[in-house]
Amino acid sequence: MSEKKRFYLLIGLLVLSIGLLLYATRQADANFSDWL
Amino acid sequence: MHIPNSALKKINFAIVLLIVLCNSYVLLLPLLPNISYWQHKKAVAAVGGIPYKTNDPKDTLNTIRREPPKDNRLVIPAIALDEAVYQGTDPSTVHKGVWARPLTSTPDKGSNTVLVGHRFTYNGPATFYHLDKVIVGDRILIYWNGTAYNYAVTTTKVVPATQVEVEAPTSEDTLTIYTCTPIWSAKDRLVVIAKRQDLKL
Repeated sequence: MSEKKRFYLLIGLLVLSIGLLLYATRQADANFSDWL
Repeated sequence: MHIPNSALKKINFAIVLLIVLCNSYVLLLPLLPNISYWQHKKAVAAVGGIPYKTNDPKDTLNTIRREPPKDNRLVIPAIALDEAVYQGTDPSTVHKGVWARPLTSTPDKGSNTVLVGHRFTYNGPATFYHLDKVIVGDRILIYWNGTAYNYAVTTTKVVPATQVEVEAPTSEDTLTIYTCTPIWSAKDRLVVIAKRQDLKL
């Protein structure tokens, strides 16, 4: 695989990883407003 | 724009590092409370589970215990929990730690005192991370306005997030603690119910 293709593949993986990070931090940060 | 191969290799290496860092943060951070838990549990065990002095004159461990707290605190010896209890009407109070629900009772008034806290958050406290380890019979203490109140756990259960009846007033002096479950999710609520005991503290 050429370095250029690897670069695009890694950029894709990085976007997925950041998406996972954002999803995880929002998901676990439960709020209790629906219990008020 | 043409980027030479050697430069691309360095960029790719940096991206791999970023990917590893991102995923390590997501996967490993939720495990960290376990490490501090085992360290803290040893310290709590050294004072017989209760970190504060009791009124019992025969209690020999009183010599190594701390003076009773002046702030409102929740103590669950079984999971080495000793946290300040915060009051307020703003739901964001829960980000500080243990939140006494505003429309429920307080230990000095009887009925149902409801305390809540996060199970785990990436950017806040993991107050009740170990609440699932509490079992029926475990002792719970609340220090409220300078007085200690003693409870024994009678029920632990998981309910849907819509089951708000757990906050309803009760005829007996009750302490209800709940948090999110499973860890990483706000889908359900893990509820621990304890009844007041008249033991000497």
